[in-house]
This record gives sequence, C-alpha cells and structure tokens, in this order.
Amino acid sequence: MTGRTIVITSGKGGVGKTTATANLGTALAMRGQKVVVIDADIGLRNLDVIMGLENRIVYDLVNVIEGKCKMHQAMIRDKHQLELFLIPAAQTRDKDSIEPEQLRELCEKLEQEFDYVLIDCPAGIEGGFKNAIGAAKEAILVTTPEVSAIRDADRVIGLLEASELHRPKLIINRINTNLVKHGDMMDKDDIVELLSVEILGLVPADEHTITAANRGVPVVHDKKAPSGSAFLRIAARVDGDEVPFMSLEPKTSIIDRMKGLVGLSGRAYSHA
Amino acid sequence: MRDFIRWLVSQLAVAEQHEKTGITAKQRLQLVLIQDRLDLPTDEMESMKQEIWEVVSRYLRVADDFLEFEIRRLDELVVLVSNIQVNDASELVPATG
Repeated sequence: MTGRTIVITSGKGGVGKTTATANLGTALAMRGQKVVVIDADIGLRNLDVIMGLENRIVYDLVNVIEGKCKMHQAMIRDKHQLELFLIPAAQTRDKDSIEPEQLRELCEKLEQEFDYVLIDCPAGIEGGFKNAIGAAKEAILVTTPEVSAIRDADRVIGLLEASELHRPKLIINRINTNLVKHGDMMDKDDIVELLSVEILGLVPADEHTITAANRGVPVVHDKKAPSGSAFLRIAARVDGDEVPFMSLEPKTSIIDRMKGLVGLSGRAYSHA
Repeated sequence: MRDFIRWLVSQLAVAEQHEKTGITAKQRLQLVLIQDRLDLPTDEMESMKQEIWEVVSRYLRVADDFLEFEIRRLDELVVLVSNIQVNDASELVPATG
C-alpha cells in the first residue's frame, strides 16, 4: 500500500486548519479508508482536544522521532472510527525538536500502512511550517473569506510552490451566506479569481462546529450540521469522487418564509 | 400552520434535550490545562507511574497495572490520584452484611 501524505495548511492562524484536519480524517475513515492524522504543531497541541483523545496520550510525535517509543505506541486509535489514528504533538517541547527529513521519513513509513497521512500544519511560515510541508506530497490550504486570511493564503501558495507542492487545493471555511447574499462577503468566485487555485470545498459558518469542539467529537458525526456535510463532501472529492458544490442557502427565519409565501421576499439565492 | 406547529414542537424537543456543551468544554479544559501547566511530558508521567509501581510492589503483591493514575483537580488543589489493586488480601476485607 502506498498512501497519500497531505498537509493541511493556511497563511493566517485561527482559520480552522485543525478542525479541517480532524473532520477530513474522520470523514475519510468513515468512507472505509485507513487514516492517520499527525499534529505537527509542536508546543501548541490541539488536534487531540478537537478529536476528544486528550486523555489517551502517552507518547507523542517527538518521542517517535527521537526513538523513545515505537511508531505504533504513539498512535492513538479514535473512539468512533477503528481505522483512524492520531499522532499527537509534543506539548512540552519547542518547534525545533524535529527536522524536516525526520518527519518525511516517518510519513514514508506510515504511507506503507495507511491510505491517508494527514498533517495538521502549524500556523505561520517559520520552522514548524517548513517541517510539515516538507513531509507532504500534496497540500490543502484553508482560508476564511476575509482580506487578511486571503492575503496570507496567497503568500503560502508561493511558499508551497517553492517547496514543489504544486497546485494546492483550497477550502473556504466559515462562509457567512447571509453576508455573501448581501454582497458583504467575498464569494467563491471572487476568491478563486484572486488566488487562482482550485477549490476543494466550501464550508458554511456553523455553530455546530463550536459545540462539536466543546464535546471533542468532530462535526462530521453530526448529521444535522451543514459544516459536517460540507466536510463529508470534501472528503469524497479528496478520495476521487466527483461531487457538485453544495448550494449554500442562507437560513431563512419564519418571518422570511412568511414573506416568501406572500411574495415579498427577494430572489432566491444560490451560492455555487 | 401545520408547519409552524411542527416547528414549535421540534424547537421544544430540542430545548428539552439541550446539552450544555460549554460546560463540557470547560470541564475538559480544566484537566487539559492542569496537564499543560505541570509541564511534565506524558512519557515522563509514564515512567513515574512505572517507578511508583516498582516501589509499591516491593512491599505488596499488587496488580500489574493501576486502576487509575492521574493528576486532577480536587477543589482548589491539584492532586495525583493513584489506585492499585492489592492481590491475595481478600482476608483483609471485612465481610459485609
């Protein structure tokens, strides 16, 4: 078996990389793939709490790389998906604890056993970022539709290209459909035009993401969550399926629906 | 109207079973932050556990693993809780009833 190593990265911090990694990993495992997710954010571990596995950590990424434990000892099996594993970041070490080649070697070993190796990349463009992108052969870029996030995403696209990671694919996270509808938020086409990258998926802003993180259960498990179904579709695209883009209809209130009934509402809006 | 009633009922049902995930988040973070602030790598926690087991097993016949071994909050204190089963000591347990 030769799996695919994909880095999930962004320019700006706080745009949802860790959430995207947890949900993409979970969704791919739900499709029957063998998946390992690696938290490469040394010193600022977070993928474990998003996946609800924080109480099961004994060994971490730095322990494996330093040979303190075997690879399998640092792999924590997910609570819900039997073929999903997490290698957590070290929390008490700094970002220089590992070298890019060491992480690449580890990923090459993991590719022999897994269909997908997903790396949650630290924010910023310093050492930790270089470690994470150096180990991957494909890149997924996460951004929100805000000016600062898109500017930083453009910078990272340049750095990815320089590292031979061509054609990164874009996830636009936290799209506020009401703002887009009123012309107060850039939409998918605006962002594609600015960054000239391929879109992998559109994720609506969704409160379910917050409650899911509170519980430590990725939102793809919640069938009612719009962001969850967005991530399921993204996973299907990563896995090679042709999935049309979801139409992100803004949620309408009762009043709007009543207006609709009597013909007072504006035109129906379709995002993609 | 039927839609409205259905909606109202569903909202009431949701309110009833509403889990306060904010509380869940706080409780989980209380444990995580204790661990972080201790600045004790998890593998060292594991070696401490092993050493404590070795010391105890010099004096008592005990099970191979702890029933629990964790650092947690006890009101204002942070405590290390460890529990280990002592074997062959059934005669020490007073009969109940």
